[in-house]
Amino acid sequence: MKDLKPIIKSLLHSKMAPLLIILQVAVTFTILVNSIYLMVEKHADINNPSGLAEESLFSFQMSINGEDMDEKVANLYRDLESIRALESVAEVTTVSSIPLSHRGGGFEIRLDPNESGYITKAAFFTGGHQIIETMELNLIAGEGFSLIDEGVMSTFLADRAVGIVITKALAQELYPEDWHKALGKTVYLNQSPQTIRGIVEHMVGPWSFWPQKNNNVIYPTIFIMGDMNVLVKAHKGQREKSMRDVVELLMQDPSRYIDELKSMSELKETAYQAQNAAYTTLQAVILGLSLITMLGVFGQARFTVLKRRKQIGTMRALGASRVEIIRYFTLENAFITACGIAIGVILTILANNLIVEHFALSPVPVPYIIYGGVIIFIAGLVAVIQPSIKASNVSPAEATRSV
Amino acid sequence: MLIYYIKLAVISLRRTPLLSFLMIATISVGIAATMITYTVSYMMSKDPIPSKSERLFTVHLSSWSPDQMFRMRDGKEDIPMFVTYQDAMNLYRQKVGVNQTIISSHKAMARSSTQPINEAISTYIRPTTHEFFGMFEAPFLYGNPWSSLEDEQGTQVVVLSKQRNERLFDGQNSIGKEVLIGGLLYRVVGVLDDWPLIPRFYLEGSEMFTEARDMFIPFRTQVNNNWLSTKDTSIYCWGDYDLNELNSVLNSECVWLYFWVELNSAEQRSDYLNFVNNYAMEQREFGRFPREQMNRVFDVNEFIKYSKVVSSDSKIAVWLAVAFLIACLLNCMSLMMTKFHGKGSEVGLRRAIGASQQDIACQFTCEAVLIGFAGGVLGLVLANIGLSVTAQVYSHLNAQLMTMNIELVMITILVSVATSILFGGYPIYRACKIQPSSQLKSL
Repeated sequence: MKDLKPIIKSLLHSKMAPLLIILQVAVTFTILVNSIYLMVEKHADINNPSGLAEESLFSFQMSINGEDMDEKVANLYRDLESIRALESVAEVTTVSSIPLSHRGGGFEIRLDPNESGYITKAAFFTGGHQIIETMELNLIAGEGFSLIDEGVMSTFLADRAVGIVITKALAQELYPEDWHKALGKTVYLNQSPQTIRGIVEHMVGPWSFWPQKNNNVIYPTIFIMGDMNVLVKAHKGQREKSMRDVVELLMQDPSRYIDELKSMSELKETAYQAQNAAYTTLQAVILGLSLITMLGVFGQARFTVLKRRKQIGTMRALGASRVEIIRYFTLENAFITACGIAIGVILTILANNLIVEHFALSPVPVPYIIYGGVIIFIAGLVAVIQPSIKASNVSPAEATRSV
Repeated sequence: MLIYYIKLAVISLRRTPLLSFLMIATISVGIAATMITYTVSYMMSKDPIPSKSERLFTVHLSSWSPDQMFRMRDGKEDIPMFVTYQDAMNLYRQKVGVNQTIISSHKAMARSSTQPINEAISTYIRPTTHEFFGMFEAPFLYGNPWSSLEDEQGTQVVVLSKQRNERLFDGQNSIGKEVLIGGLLYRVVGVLDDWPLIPRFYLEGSEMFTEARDMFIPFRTQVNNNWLSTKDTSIYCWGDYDLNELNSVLNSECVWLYFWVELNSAEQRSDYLNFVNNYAMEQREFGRFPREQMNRVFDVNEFIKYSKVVSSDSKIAVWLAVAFLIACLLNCMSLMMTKFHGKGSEVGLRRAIGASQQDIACQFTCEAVLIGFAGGVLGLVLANIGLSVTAQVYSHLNAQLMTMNIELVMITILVSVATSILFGGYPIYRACKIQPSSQLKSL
């Protein structure tokens, strides 16, 4: 530590060069910490549990024939029955929107119908009573649906009093103190009252980018439209075969068309493409930044070594060992990096306030600032190895030569 | 003299190739990162139709239910961006603007009349009116839009995109040929050329960066054919309706159509808004428009802003990249300090034989400009490589977003040169201050 005093003195003597490095480190630190935080957030976003049997699900849209509502319903039931009878199919249901398909509808959720605002919003999945079984959702409280609960409707409304199943995320938002309390309570979907009869652990909604994507409501009523969404769960490992089987079966009817035939894995990949792309970009930014900083520290260290050959020679001539020279330069750089990090912490906190203000993001938590500091510090140490070894190789004879 | 300085700068750069390379490389990496993010953000938010963005307006009406608001947005009540069929037709028929158009959407199986039925593909279709093409400056490769008469009569005619024309008719002039849409014959009257409209401002935010649709048909024919694709159309309803019956939707309060109007000048905006408000008041007499009236018209750029299409992600990316550029420039600055420090004796010599401080400053500025220029050019190359990589990674976005126009190329070089002069300033100042005597002593 006794070296520190002369180091600070010599740095103060020629301020500009170290100041540049300090600034560079500070700026880098700020970007690095923010990028790492953004990256971790994206990572959590991408790995948001879907709650679905992703590996065995697939979905498609199909036309249904029929002059009037009754005929359409009868045809739909017959189609679903024949799909269910296929050997490769485990379960099938029709549902108003497919998770992660970016198409769907939702409601405002209230506990008091006369409230002018709303507590939150949730996506609405209405369809056959087998939705929970087909998606393989994990029912953690209350009960699911059975055949007697099932109905048919032609308007997007939850006006039959059969109750709903909601996700735990939604229950938590309604009753932040204890989500168990939601069970049996009445909530209002827009204006329609419904009793919560069950709660599932996870289920992802139609839109991957929606902040309320984990708020979902399941309702056992088949919503008849021109095109119907069908969700099929194949037996394990038989999804490809099952997709072929279903198409073959349905296309026996020449007037039928099938569209958007996609496996859940495909849907998930498309849905999170933007987040994945941003994730990759952030990784590149972090890598590039670390390299540039290391380059800067490296250049600066070499510069000081070059400038101080004579001084180093004198130190060596006066009895400093090579290790001491290496220690001197390492310490000097560590000091500079530490100053940079200190300024960087202040910059990060300032940048944070701006980000929170302008982009509605949450601020970077303290641990990230520590991680970022450690990364930059190590990068700086690595970069200074070669120049300081070079400095230690300066011969003591250097001192006797005139410049 | 300038040429001599440039020559000196080139010699000086070549004398220390590693240092010069490092300087140019750091600048170019910083410039490339900044320009990649800036290009995407710039292309996302630039004025898509500068010639008339101030006199094209979309109309939003307060036709929603008395019981509850349409939705909350940013803590305030918001009205739908779509209008009902009744309102679209009423506003369209009154023809108050120079041009007005109704934009709908539909999805159906489509093929050419010579293809077998199993080659039909699911196609996104844009039912609209003949004014659409002129209003939004859609370029025609062959043929023309259909006529207003064909609009009124609901003649089954279609305008194809360039891609679809290539797929169905090998890119030949296909005017007069026939395609089957949802099993019905449509005659081709026009083929569009490439239409890179960014953002595609006449649509809702989530669709603004998509390609134009492959088929455009008269809106009247959608109505006549009773076509409504609930899986494709954004449709919001209150009151009585049945989504299975187009007729029921037409008479309902469901909102699902975009309405755009072109006025002679931006000044007529308030007149048009008055007209819309008066229209709403008239409708009240029929028991419609029960809510407090918040009708509004948005011009192109207002509507883009309202749709929030420039994601905060892309704005953050620009700021990150600018900070990255600053880090690179600081790095370059310290490299320049190193460089000019090593040239102390040369400066001393030049000063001793009569060069003034200005001369030295001029000489080194030339060098800084040269470094900046080289960094800019290399940065441009890197940025374009980066953009093509970005286009792969972000394949869900329109590739047009990842292309630089000439303006951006100029900006790149300019920023690079300007910043290198700015950040070279201090090293140059230091070099000028070198005393001739101190350097000459040791020579």
